[in-house]
Amino acid sequence: MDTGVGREFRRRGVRRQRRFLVAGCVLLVGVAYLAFTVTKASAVYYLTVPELEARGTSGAQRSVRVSGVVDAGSVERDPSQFVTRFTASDTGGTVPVIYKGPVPDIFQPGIQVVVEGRLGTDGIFHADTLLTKCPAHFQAATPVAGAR
Amino acid sequence: MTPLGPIALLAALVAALYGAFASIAGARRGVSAFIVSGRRSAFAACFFILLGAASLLYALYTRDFSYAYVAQHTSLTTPWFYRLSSFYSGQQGSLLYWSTALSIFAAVALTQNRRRHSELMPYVTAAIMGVETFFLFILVFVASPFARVLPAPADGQGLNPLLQDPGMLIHPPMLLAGLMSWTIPFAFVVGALATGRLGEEWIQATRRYALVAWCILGTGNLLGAWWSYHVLGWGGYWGWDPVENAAIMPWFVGTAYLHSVMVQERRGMLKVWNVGLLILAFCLSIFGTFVVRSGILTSVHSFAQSSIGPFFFVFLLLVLALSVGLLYWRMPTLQSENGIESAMSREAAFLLNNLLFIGLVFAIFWGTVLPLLTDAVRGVQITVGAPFFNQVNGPIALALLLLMGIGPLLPWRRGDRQRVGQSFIAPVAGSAVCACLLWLLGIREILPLGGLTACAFVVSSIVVEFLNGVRARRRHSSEGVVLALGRLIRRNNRRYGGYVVHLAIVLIGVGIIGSSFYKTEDMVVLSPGQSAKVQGFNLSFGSLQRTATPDALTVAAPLSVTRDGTTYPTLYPSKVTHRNFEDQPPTTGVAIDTIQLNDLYVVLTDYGTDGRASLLIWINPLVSLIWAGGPLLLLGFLVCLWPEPRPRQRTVAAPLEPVMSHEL
Repeated sequence: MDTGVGREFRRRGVRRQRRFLVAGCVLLVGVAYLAFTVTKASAVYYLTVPELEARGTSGAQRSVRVSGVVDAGSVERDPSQFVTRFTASDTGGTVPVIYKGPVPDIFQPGIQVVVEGRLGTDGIFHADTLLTKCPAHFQAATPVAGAR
Repeated sequence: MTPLGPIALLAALVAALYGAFASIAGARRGVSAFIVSGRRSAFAACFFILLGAASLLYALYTRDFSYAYVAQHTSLTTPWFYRLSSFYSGQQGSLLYWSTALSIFAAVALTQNRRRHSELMPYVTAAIMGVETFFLFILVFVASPFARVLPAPADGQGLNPLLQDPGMLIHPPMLLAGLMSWTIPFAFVVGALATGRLGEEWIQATRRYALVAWCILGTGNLLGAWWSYHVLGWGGYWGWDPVENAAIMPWFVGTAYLHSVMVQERRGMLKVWNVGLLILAFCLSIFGTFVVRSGILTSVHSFAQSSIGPFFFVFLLLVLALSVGLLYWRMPTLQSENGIESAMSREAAFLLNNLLFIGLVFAIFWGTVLPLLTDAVRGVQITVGAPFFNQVNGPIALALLLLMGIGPLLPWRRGDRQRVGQSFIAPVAGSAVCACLLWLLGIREILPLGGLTACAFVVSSIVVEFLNGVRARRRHSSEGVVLALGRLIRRNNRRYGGYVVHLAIVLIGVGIIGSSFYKTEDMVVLSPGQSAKVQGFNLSFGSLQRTATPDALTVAAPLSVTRDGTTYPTLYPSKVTHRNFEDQPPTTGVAIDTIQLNDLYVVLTDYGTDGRASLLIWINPLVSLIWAGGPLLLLGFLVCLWPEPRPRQRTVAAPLEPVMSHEL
């Protein structure tokens, strides 16, 4: 027999469950909101070299990422300044890069690199970070070193 | 040379396919002969896969360069252990390794359950064989490790010197096995959904498999961080690289599952949630395997050009469609038996824990696939880097840390406000004392101070739990403290094993907080005889040392280390040029010394003909705590895994006084 008291308890139970459900959704929405705001603040365009050249120095305040293959014979290192200079190519475009900092071991001509930084008015890409791809792991095609 | 490998894999593919169909047909029609046949076929598939793996290992060991895979990854001078380890370092080989490891785990799971769960097992077999079929299909038709190169080259390309490191012998197989091992719990979920037996049965059947999967994957990730720190020489251990992210996401989902499954066991709640979590863990494992082996997320152009990419994508969609379909079909049977009764309860804490983990996984997933999403939607790729992940995951991690301390203090169902408040006093007091100590030690910034105080809170809460448990035992027995502790852990091994795991996580957390907020980086160039002062350390450079061995030429920059008059071991950061790889850049030999919990981390980036050494010097505080957390994590895992003792009978002369459940 379903007494009125039993029904009242169940109604309260359902309301309580709903409140927890709402609280859970609010939490997830909060996390999503946090993710989206931080994304907007820290998003970085990931460009190919031709796209970088097309973009030029407009919007030079924001960092961008560029991927390319290190050209043979283009690597110059200045150990006393921890500076590495090279050119990177990708589908027909080439960009000179200057980078200061630690260089991954496999960095060499022919390796695919991802640099993050800004294209300066001098036409040289000033990189803050330099990443290389470990070729033994990946079999996917790499960007084509530009036929200039 | 008979092509044993490809034939074995083809046989395995046929056996796996047959095993899947026979098991399902037998289960649906109730024909036990089909079920038995399906099960035997699964073992046959395992046998053939092992044969194929042995064949590849043999080819690697004997340097059979007629196989393209052997020629790509080894050479005449590669030592035998690196020859064998290239079994899993290339794309095709790693897929074969995944299949082999799965076949071994499947054989174990099928054998362990040969007399149990007879309704579930045919579907479990079918699910595992279905996954094996996919991988074998790839191995036979798309990315075969047994492709030939004719005429066979005289020498292979050899293993990249960067990969010739002991860390590479253990990290990749552990990580891949960790990803793979979620297939077993997933298969049981499929079985449970297919049969409608969604009560405790499948949970009990999978408890240890999920725990093992969680442990292997966690260890694999920790080893990856260790390898990155000790070998790659960039001064850090985790860069939020897409590959790292893909490997950690299933682990977070698995961690969430290990917690929420306790709620289902105790209160019959969260049934749909738990099924969903295991499906998600498995899907993320497949996604992780694919990302780790195909470069899709790190290369701008590679998805369409990856030969296995589209297949993985389709497989993932099929798995999702099938699992979600089964889940939807069984939804009515998965209703909770109870609801959450109070916000101040352990159920609520576990639920919050799960939501935070899901939020964490969402944030990491978002940040990782953002380039693909934006490329598809806007035609240009947008990426986010470490700052995004740190800013979003930091607060979530802090909340989870606090929850680790709060959870054990809350009772099940409904907490009495006064009693709960009382149980909070000691841990809060402990953390307050710690906060004062940290302030006095000079830690004043809000984020590290808050993080470390939260860690202290968790430790206090766990210590209190142990103390209360021992005290409750000793009140009714004449046991000494040590014996009481031992028996307490033995009788409640899941709970106290969990506390040990939490302690390990706190240890790792302290290491992460210390190294994230207080690391320093310096770039110095030293001439012979010069010395540099870094954070109180005096590093004196003598002169470049050249050492030649048959395999390599090592150039090292010996640095003698002193601080406040104490001399520490000399550091030898080096550059190593391997014979037969002179055209490759030399590999870095990182020099690390842990001095009073601070890591002095030195990398020789360059050396000049004038004998000058260019050095990068990091001080990384507390990193060794991260590595110390590993063994502690394993210990906690073992305690959790241990079989529970059978209840013992004891004759009682007089009735015991009642013991409050929260004291035990």
